Amino acid sequence: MDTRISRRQLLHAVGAAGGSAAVHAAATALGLLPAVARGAGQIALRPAGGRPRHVVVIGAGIAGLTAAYELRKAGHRCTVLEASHRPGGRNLTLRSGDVIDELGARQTCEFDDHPDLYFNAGPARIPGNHTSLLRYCREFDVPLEIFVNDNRSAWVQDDAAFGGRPIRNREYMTDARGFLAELLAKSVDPRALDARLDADDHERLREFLRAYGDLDETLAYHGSDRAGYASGGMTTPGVKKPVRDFSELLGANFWREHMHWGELADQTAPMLQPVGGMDRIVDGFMRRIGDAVELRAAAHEIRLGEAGVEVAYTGAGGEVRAVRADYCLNNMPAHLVVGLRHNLPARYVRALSAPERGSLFKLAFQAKRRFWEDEQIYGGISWTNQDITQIWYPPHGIHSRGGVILGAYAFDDAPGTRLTRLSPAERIEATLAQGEKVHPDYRQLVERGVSVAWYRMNHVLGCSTRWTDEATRDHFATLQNPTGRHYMVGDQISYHPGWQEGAIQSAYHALQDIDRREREAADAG
Amino acid sequence: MQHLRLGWALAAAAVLAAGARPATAQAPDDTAASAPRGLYAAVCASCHGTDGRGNRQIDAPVLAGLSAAYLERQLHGFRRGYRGRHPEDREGVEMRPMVNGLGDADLATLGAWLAAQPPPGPAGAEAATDTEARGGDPARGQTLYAACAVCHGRSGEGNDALGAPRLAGQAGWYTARQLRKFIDGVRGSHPDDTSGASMRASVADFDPRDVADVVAWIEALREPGR
Repeated sequence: MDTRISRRQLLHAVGAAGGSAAVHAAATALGLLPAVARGAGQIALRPAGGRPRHVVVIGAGIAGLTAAYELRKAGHRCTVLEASHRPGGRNLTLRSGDVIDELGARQTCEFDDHPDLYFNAGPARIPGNHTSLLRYCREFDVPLEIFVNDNRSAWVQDDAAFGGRPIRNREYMTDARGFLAELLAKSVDPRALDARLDADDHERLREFLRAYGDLDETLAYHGSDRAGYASGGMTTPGVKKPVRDFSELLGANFWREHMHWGELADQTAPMLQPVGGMDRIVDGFMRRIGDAVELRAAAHEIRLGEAGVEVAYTGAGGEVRAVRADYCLNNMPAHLVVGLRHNLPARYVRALSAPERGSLFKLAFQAKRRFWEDEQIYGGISWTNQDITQIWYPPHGIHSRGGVILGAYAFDDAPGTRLTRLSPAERIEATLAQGEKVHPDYRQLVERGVSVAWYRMNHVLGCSTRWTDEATRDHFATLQNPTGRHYMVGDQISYHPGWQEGAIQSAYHALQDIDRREREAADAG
Repeated sequence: MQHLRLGWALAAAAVLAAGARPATAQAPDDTAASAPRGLYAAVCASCHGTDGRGNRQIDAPVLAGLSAAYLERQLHGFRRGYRGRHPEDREGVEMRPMVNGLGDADLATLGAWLAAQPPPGPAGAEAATDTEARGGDPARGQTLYAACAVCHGRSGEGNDALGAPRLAGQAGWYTARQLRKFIDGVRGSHPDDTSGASMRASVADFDPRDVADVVAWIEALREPGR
């Protein structure tokens, strides 16, 4: 006999005991009402109903756009103030004629006008585990295609190894693993291992190392066809490449970090990119809430009040205007907020000043032809120990006439800073000179370089946010929580700086808190 | 001044009803000042802040309350290249292109507007984030400062006749960094920078401890009662 009570019976009983708030909580738990958080990558705010709020969002970056979109969907009113001439923040895709608004060094992108010829100067790849971002791609009908990140056919170049000449990624990886496996297989002493390893385990470990490094039956590494053949392999027998010198492999910096890039959870194949440019996602938001976004509206004052927040700003025509709202979601870089006129608490201001601003740098060229395909490279990344750090080959437009090649992506501070400090023309020259060590005819094959030094980009002035352990410990929670009705949002207020998913999740974090406050206020009223 | 004057006693309904609107709460002088203010907002405010009070995060010094003559001379220096040209002057190199495209009248307008803005007070948030001067000995700094006071004034108020900028109210990290630049010849070594050259000569024998101590004293000059 079925003794379970129905959902309705349960809610009735809960209501009798705990009133409407308890019914709401229980109904939410049963999935009968929209919950604040609905599993990975989703949020559904409680409908505003008879209590719509007005929220001012400073900054139309991904977090700001996310917040405005979700709030509007729930029936609230939003005003989004964006200081720049364009929405999207660091979600920036450059095409023919676009302006690069760098302080004191404005550039124009001079690529040919063609749908494949774009440069994702900010985010450029999406891992499959960034579920919130992918949900918006689905919701906004943004078509995605596979992005190639890891490519064993691409080059590894290091001035300290192999005479500075590039070698194939697969060759480096295969030889390095072969040496490592041989070394281990010959030196592993079962008695030195954990006692739980018995003789069978030890045998399996030897076989594991043989398989891992492609060792022969004597546990020696004599090269592997995994590295690619020096010749033959189709109608004539394959001839293995000579084994590289292990000392030279160790001399290159590649093994320190870049060799393991594809092992990172956010960098693992397959990755995705929107067809036509990353800003297709921004377009998706703007089609839905663009009427709420005011461009060239630079906030210059934030006043916290008892009942809300007032933001004064300079509009497109130079006029000073103000917005008064129930809440403020602030998507400005924290390091720029401290320069505003404000009445934020001192502790909060110290927290805003705690993270450092990164000096991420990208430079792209239009290629005259897809020369990398002649080198058996279809998408992916070549690595170098020089400041340019990476060269990216476009995964789209395969076998077409041209393409946009990323000539430099320096994400560590030292190389990023060195490239940032150069003039746009000097950056192009440096990138060509360094790229020539990877592709000898580079200079003749690429043109129309355009650089984005985020450290110097107007209204941004840094990417990505650098939180030291100490700053995180002392200040992160301060910024993740509101001060009054003011919330900082953005990838900067996440453990995923530099990723759009971090921006979205930080917006959700703030929205959930507002949802809670509104629910409590409604219940109290 | 142009600070918003908000009436937070407003009923919640009125708050709800208010959308984007002209900021009628602005003080009357804001309209008159809108042209220079707009120029400042367009060119300078991102880094130096809404009111010119600087931003340590952007390596941007306090400009508010410096004399018009000093500001204008430095802006001309950046435009003509006797400031921000030295390869080791990272922040100066970043500043220099910002004055490109500005005419003499613009530089004068910016100088005059910034000179009229109040310098940061003692309890400013910018002071709270300023850790550069920590560890300096203000008492020893006061002794060292006696030589500086000849030009910069006993209270660090500056002296246009001698080309000496106001120091009181300037962020300590900036003062310390500029002292190091003068000592290293990164600033004040260009032949056109005459006042910079005399400053450089004045601190040529300063060691790191002297810098820390004198900055600690200059920091204290903005405290009340000095």
